Amino acid sequence: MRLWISLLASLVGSVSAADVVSNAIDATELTVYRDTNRGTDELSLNDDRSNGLAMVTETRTIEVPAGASTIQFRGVVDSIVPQTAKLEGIPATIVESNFDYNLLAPGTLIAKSLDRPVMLIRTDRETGEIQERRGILRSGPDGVIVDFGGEIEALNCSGLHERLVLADVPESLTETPTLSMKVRTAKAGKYQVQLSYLALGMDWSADYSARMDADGNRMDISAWITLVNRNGSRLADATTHVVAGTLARQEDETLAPDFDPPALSDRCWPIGDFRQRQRIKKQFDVIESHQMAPSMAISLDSIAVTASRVARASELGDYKLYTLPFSTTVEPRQMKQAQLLDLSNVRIDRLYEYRVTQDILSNDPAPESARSLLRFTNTKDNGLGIPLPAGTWRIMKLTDDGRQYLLGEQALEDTPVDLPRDIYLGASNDVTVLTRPVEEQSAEKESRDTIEVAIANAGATTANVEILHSRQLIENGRIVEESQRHQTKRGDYVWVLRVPPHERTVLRYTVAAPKD
Amino acid sequence: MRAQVAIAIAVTAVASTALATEAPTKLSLTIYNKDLALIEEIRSLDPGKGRHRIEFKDVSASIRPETVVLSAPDVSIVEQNFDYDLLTPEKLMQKAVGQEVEIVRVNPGSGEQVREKAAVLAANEGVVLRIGNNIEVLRADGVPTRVIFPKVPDNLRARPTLSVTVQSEKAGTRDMRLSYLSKGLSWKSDYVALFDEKAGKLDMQGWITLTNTSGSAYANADTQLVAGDINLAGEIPAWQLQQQQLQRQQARQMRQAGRDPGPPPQLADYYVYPIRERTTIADNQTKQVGYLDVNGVAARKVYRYRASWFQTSEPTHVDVAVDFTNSKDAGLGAQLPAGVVRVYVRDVDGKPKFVGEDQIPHTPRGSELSVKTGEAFDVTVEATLERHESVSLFRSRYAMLYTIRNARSQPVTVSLRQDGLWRDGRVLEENLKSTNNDARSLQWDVPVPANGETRLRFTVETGW
Repeated sequence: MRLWISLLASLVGSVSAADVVSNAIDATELTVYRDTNRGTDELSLNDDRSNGLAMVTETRTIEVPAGASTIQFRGVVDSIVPQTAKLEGIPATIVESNFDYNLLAPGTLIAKSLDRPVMLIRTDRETGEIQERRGILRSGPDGVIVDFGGEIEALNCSGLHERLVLADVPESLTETPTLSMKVRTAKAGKYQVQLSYLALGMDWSADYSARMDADGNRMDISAWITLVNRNGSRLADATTHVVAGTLARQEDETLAPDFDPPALSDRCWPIGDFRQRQRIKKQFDVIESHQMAPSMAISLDSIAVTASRVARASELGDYKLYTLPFSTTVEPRQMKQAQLLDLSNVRIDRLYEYRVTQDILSNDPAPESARSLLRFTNTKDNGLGIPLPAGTWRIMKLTDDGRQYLLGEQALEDTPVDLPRDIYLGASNDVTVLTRPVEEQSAEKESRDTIEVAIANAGATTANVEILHSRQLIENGRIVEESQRHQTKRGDYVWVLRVPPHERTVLRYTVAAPKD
Repeated sequence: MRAQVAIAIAVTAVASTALATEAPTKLSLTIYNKDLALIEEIRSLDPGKGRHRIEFKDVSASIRPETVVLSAPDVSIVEQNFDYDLLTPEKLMQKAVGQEVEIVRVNPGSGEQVREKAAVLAANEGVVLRIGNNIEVLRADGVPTRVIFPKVPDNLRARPTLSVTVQSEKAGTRDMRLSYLSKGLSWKSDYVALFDEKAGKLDMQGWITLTNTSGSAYANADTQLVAGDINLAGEIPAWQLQQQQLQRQQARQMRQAGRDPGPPPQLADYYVYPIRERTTIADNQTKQVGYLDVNGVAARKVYRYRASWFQTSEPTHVDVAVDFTNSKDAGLGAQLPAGVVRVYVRDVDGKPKFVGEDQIPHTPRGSELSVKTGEAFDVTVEATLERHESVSLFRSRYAMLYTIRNARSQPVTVSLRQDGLWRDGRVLEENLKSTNNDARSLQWDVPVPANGETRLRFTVETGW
């Protein structure tokens, strides 16, 4: 008994006069980085991986006394990585910075109220009569036990309507994530400070929608930045940037504190009858006290599409920084889009590709589809020449009667200026290839295989077809005869053929390989 | 400061008199990197004369009880117990088996209460009671029934509790020193590095990040931190070993180990960082204390690409790293405990923005460090194996072409490293001069003009 009285006494003395509480955020700047682990996977709101990263800078106005004081920054983003917090804009020495992850919840409330006075209220089911008893909380939250002056009872084991009432919220619990800094200032005053930190649970991707013209020579591209906030925090009126590029990350070290509060359990002794074991599952009656932490009500996946103005691009070290043209409010569990770029008349090449593999040569040959693809080089001459952040490209085609069709989609990596890129659309129904070995000679030192590649074009336009044969397929091999001159590209021999509509073109080449 | 802060202590004589005692007069913590802390506290206490039990409530669930040492003048330890039998309703009922409790039945119709004595016979799958001469199952009829226990059993506790039975030669208040090792306390270093590429300077702050998940709070503790990988007995989990191995393999952040003398205090081979002011470490807290703040450390940005074999690859973004040394001459002059370096650069509006993070090992003064921040958006390397010929049964010739493209408006130099050389590896021809790192790799510093590209071509022959 004496023990808890002394504890109470120490509580009263613990409110420091030099505590400064900062609730309001004047302005927020938000920079969102891509989740490097997601690769080219699509962005999702319900993804619970917390790897996406954001840098949050909050401008707050605080009034601090001279000397030592503790500033409590309330309402920081719930996935804050506390060790990344920095404070600027105040001539102060930061003695220490603390983040307590004791969020107010039924379980933590009980855990922190041990040995403190509580009241048990019983309501009679029939009469509505209320009975109150005062006692000391002895154990919890893993089953609650109360000591009523030598009569020990457990909560929710009697089958009566019972609830526990506490006098106040233990001081170490906060209802909102709070970062506190102990500072020492020479001069008292009002300061506008910048608090910045990294937070998890945010991610972004680029999404490209390209409309190819009827000839397949040009396309219009509009691209969107899709921003996702998987946190329970709201960022109001934030100046928002996204960063394109791959950051080195230490994911095991840059973590939000593990919010794993002890859960309040209604564990009781086994309650049963003669027939079989039966456990009375009871909803835990509400603990009356301050309002609980707001429930994590998941709003519908709202996708907000913002006004169609294009993001401003700039350099950030070796990355690209895109600034949204307006400040925006990022709601909890929201996906948001803004336009990244809008281009028209980009020059492209439509072509088909077919790769000769060892498989085809050994198996019973049958005609196969060529892969249809779209190729562009990121240059100014082609109507591009701007950095293209990684994302998914959707290629649409507009037909003469004004209908749109999806030709295919593919994810591309970050594409710097001058780099060529291929977007594979799918297997062609019109362009088919039949490959077969037509001659196999074996001399003393060398073997010679002649391969025939027959390309048929059932389409209405001329098809440009690339036939590829990997150079690594044949060690020390070389092409000794061919019906058309080959080129080399990366690790391949390449033959480019033009196949007019409704025609068939045949390529023949002979590969010589030394014998072991 | 907080209610939970003081480790509550109670002396229970065998005759069961309870005494509340003062908070420790001195509390000191020595925290290691590896989830380990040495906790020492001095308390003024009168253990009385004779045999008594002293209870230390609120010691962490992570205490290593076998390491507890209690010492005081004229006191000897009889036995030490660490009880972690948590007080729950279920346990309370189990411990009441064979004993008498009171039950209060509440008539659901009238609200009338009937109080009876009952003996608990069993508490498995339901509680069996003897009431008078009858055997009943508790609440088998669904009638609300309260159970009143006369007391909390001695060894059931709301929190893990350490109890020490001592034999005291004489009564009187004196200092008692308690020390033990505990898990749940650890620290690491976090660095904030603001890099100015144009000036070739780095502003660096070092923070100690303390994390307390031990279940206890430590008020006004004299705290010091030990940096170094100390050896701990006991089994190391396989995943940890694997991780350590991986870390060693990947730990190329330290390119050259330093030999500069470090400042005192030092503890054998380890660095010791005392926290200047006494600090209170709350439970479930992450605390940061600054210990390093230097401006203008010489640093430079480098582009690196490493090919582990002779093979064709798609255009790949090169790595970007910031190289610096922690020698005195370069402006840093401090040993750096292992931790994460987070690099920031200023954006076009002059605001610092995060650009990447890397881990550094415990780094003696005068070492050369390379912190990888990420991949360059605009600088790519495309590799083509142009020819691969067998020269003999055990020798091969490889002709490689590397196309290095730079879409930036400034020229860059890419440091390209080719691994894969083996016995008698040699360069037959090359269009840029290579240097040898070691017998198994070659290196080129390839200048690439702004908005342009450079082709590196070479042929090597190597045995295997």
